[in-house]
Amino acid sequence: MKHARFRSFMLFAVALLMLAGCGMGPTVFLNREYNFQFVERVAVVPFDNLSDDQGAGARASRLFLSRLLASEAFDVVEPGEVSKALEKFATVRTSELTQEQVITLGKTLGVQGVFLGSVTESSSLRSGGASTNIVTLVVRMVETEKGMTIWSATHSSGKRGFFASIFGGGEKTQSDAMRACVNGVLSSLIH
Amino acid sequence: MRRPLLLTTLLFLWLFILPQAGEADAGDEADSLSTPSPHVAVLPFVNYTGTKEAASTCAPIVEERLSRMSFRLVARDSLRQALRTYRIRNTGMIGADDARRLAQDFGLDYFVLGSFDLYTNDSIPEVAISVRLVEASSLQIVWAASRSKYGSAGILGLGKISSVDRLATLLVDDIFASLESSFGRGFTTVRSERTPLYAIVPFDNLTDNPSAGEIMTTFVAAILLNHGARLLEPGAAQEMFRRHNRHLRGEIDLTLLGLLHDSLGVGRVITGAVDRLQPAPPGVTTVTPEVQISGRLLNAANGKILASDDIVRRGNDGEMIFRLGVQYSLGTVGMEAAAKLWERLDAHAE
Repeated sequence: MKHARFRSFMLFAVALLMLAGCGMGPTVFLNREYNFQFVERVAVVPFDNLSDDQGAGARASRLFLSRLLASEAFDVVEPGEVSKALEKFATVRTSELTQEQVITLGKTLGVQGVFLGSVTESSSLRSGGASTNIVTLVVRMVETEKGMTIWSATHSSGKRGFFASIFGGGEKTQSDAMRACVNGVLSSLIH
Repeated sequence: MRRPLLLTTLLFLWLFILPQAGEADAGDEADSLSTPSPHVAVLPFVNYTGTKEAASTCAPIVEERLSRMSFRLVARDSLRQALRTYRIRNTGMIGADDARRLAQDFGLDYFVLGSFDLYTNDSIPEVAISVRLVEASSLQIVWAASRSKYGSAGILGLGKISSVDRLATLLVDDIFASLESSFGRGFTTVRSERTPLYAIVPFDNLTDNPSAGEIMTTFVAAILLNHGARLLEPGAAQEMFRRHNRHLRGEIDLTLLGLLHDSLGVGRVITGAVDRLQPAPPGVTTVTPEVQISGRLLNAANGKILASDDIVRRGNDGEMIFRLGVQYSLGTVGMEAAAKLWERLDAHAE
């Protein structure tokens, strides 16, 4: 009896450890009352970089744009047009555009939705002989009629799984971690 | 009676017919002698390597090789004087106004423009050079090559080249042999006028290498041309952007896109970004170069994005067993990435 209970407890503990090592999916908000069919054309505003990795914001933006185009879910405005439209807003952090600014941007670019985002983490952690590259993205889509957020996702990628932590391997390069993060974020919006 | 008539006829022939035949022969000979070699200006190559040694090593090799070709080259001193007079500082590309002035001054048919893209002088050296030939009247690129050479050893160390001078000489010979071959075929324009004219907006640079954007732009230009596309000299597009006070990298707005279409006849624009251009550390065989680029193809008439993709290419992508097929040359990996990007964009755009 005692052996059986001990065995059950050990199995439960191992299962918990494995789940903890696997990492969590994106944290998602989706406005289910909004009719997403209305969104045909979107713009991607260059992501902010809140990490120490110089250029992470620009890289994440380009990758997000590329994946969004590949999904063929929306028509996407050329980034040059977005940059030109943003010149009139004297803002350093594009993720902090006001509601009025988003509405104005929408009218200027002729889009129904605007993607805003930030790279909050892009770092490389060393542990012994192994390095782990971690990227965290926060992205949201704002509709341009009233400036309300209709979707947002936060996702981290690059953490090693349970078995990789024990036995080694499973290391992702920085670009792989960024790519996986972007894919993870987008998969919560586009299936 | 017959004899005078015969003599008169012979005299007539001698005076009027035979000299014309002679002149025709002379004319033919003169024609063949007067068929001109093209008059070419070779602008100083741009150095994207970050080391002065690249230019001091490679520039004399390029000059010497060009002097052996059947071009009439503008004298270097005269050309430099003209570049100073017209304040032409960026010699990696040429705009319409500068091209017209130089062509008028020197009676030019073509410009040769180029760059030293990569240069390492380690135990295993590497050199990468890009060259293009631009028609002076139309500013269309008629020939381009981007090549790299790596001094790596083959099996059992055979074929290893440890001298960067030797490597650069072989690379330059290779490049200009290709130009000579094309020149021998008369630069016949096989590209149909019905295919769209492409323009490249310089790639954005998100790497630590300050010239990564320019390097990838020249790689993509060479790939496009080798696949039969018609390509506008990048300097022509840059000149237009400068007039509108825009310094574009990796993107373009609809106004300038429309101007490229309406003023220069551009049908499609290609642009993108270089996210990673990482060489292999010297002497480390377990780490290979990595190149990450993204690109977009736009319709210049309506601003629509026709295709978009991103490519990651590593030196061990082609690895088989016992590290066979591993590529340590950053230039080769970079060109493979550029070729893959073009292949994907072209396929999606159709």
